[in-house]
Amino acid sequence: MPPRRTPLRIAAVQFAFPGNRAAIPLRDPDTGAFSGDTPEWDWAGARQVAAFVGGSSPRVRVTFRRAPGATGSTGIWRIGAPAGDGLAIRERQVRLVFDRDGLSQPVDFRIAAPIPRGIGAFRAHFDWHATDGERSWRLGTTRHHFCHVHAQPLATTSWATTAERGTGPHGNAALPWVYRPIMLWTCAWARGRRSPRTICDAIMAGLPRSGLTYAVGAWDVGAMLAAGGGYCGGFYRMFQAMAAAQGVRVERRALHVDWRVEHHGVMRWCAMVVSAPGLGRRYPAELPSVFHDSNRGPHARQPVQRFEVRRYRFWGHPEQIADGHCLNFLRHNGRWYLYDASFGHRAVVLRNFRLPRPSSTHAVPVERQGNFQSAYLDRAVGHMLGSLRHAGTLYRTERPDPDHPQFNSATTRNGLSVKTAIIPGRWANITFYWT
Amino acid sequence: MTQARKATSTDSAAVHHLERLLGGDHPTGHYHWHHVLAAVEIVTATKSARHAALLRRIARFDGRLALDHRHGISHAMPPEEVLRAIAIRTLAAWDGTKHATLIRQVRDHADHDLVALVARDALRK
Repeated sequence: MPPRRTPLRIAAVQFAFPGNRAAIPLRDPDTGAFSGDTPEWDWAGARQVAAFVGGSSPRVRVTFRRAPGATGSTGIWRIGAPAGDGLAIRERQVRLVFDRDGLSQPVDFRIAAPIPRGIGAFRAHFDWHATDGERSWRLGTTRHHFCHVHAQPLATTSWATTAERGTGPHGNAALPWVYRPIMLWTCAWARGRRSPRTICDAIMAGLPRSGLTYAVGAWDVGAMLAAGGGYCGGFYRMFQAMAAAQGVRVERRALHVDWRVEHHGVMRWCAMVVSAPGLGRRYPAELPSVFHDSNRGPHARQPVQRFEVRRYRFWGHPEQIADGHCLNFLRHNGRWYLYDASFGHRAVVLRNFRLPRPSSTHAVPVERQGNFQSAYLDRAVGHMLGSLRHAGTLYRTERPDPDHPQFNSATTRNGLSVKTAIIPGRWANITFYWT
Repeated sequence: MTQARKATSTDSAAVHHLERLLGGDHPTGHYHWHHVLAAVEIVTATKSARHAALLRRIARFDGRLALDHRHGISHAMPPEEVLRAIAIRTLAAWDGTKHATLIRQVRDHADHDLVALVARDALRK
């Protein structure tokens, strides 16, 4: 007796379809396409990860195809998938109607047990079967990769630039979505973490494994994923996007240099100077320039130390607001934690600190910000650059002169770079615009 | 730096360099971030109709500046956005009423926080 031919096959399995609130739309950074645009699994070979809120009971949308030459497939069926390795599809009765291409209408099923709570990822398969009241049929096995997150991801307004937000999945700009690599990374790095603090710490610890590199010309999350890195203006959004993927809200602030023009050629501060190479680098990307370091104070007998060295300079603009460094802040259990994703510092616990409101007109002295200077700034920003006197000599910071025929060469002159840790609040007063 | 040079330097070279930069009329890698900041510093230091026109052009600039990044570049934002923020703030300081429409447009279409904030703060004054 010849074997019975299965009259139905699985054509496509989709998770992030419109209205399936427990499923999280994932975006491909290369194409910009959302996972909800096409099924995560199809018989032609599509195999994409699907993501859910931990503890939820998502629906699954399945399209069937009529087996070639099969007859009698149109009609009423009971279809489901029993628990194989943890997940099962609850059986339900459906009436299938096939179009001229042999494809059924989409049918929604429900996963029988909730997705595991918390953060994680796993692989599962569904062994689909169908009965027509008389006979049972095996429809085949579909294999899937699932991620599950701590809580509903936050809206992209929390981390994306205006241009990056776009129209959103299913044309709904308000619907949260997550870049696919970010979902995979954070679910692996923060697996099992339960509190916002431990989740953020795990993301910081995992960041080097992303392969992202500091000082690549990108300043938003999508551009960073495409380019393989970015500057701090991208990294603080990236960190925020990673936390937001797990439903954790962190703040972001940029600290802009407050370049004050004082008397007799004195100016402070013209730039923040950072010696650390940044994530994924062995040395700073900037070419070497000559620095005059003052590590003991303006009246010290120790001479200024002259170095030609690679360091980053985060330039200000006289009496204006220009460049700066970008950081993230988490408020957890009544405390502020600082995260510097660009340079890979561990979380810094801030005491007596209040996160300044964004302002482009009022610079805030660091001495009013609790232990921000001693716990973070002194360590991360080694020197502050200015036009300052040391032992009677004025070290000027000078930019290239546009009138000079050699304007096209690197003629910027660094003035005095003062070790941040020795800058006292009273006379020097480091201030930043926080935006 | 700049105090002595501001007093003696003509501004035409700075304007010329910035116009070349905005027009893309230079070989790639010709300009560094330092050069841009140097030229903008001169333009923003002295109020004039010519400077205001150039700053308005910077505020509306919708392209990418071809800069050599090896000598450093802006960290917090793309260089175009840093320049936009400087331009907006300078125009607001010179004559906020005259440039209010432009500042409002920049605020409404800003892609980066700082630019939107500078425009908002400028309009609030």
